[in-house]
Amino acid sequence: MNEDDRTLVDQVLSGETDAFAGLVRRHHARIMGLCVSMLGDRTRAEDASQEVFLKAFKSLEDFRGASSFGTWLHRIAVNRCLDLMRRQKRQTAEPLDAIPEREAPQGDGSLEDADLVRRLLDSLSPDYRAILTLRELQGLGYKEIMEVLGISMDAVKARLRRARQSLLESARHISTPDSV
Amino acid sequence: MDEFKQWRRLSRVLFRRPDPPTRTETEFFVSRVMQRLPSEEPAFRWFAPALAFSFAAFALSFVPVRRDPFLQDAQEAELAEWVSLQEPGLPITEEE
Repeated sequence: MNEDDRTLVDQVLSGETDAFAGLVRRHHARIMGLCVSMLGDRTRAEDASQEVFLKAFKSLEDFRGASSFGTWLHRIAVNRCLDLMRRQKRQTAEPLDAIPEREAPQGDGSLEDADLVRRLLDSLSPDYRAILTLRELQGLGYKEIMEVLGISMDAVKARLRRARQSLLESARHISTPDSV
Repeated sequence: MDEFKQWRRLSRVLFRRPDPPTRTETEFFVSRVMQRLPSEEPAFRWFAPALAFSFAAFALSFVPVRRDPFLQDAQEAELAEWVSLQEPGLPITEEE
């Protein structure tokens, strides 16, 4: 475990609450990046990131140091984002006959189109989006992903493979043939 | 192999690393988190004194009450005096 993180965690646990600011400062960028990628909205990501750190503060006594503080924080962040994504999915679920005919995409159908990127990411299930974010954006190794998601190594590999295939499939359907 | 190339291209676009927050943004974020931290006073701060008080009250309930002989005599004397002022057979009335 990173020595600086360990020192700061010990200080917070011994009552120096101000030391927690150091932990927030060190991990803000990565946690914010994770939340933006998973939630696709900067404002919601900002709120979620704050909640992640608050939750970490409250649960700091449960942190045993078996994994790094960053990995532990990632686990809290992924769980929070998954919770928000599933809640939003339930709220926006429409009955099939209530969905109007979708308009044709306004963009040029290439991957440079921001709307297309958003639609592609939205087409992923929360679990797939989480694992791809951890691997592709955060650059976590298989072992770290295993610790964050609490699944076996085989499950990590299988889920990554399926998530990639799912995204490629969506890309073939949504974008123009020569853009992928 | 072709699929791998497609994936790399797609991944680069979809999972583009966002610009890191500026120092000011980070400090602003840190201050907001620190403001929202629960206060250092534990939520059950009232619990310890309440528990101690209950325990003390419980313990005191077992201490035998020792009556002060002087007060006891005084009380009995007052009662006797008050009873003697009443005529027998009459209802007890308040002294004017």
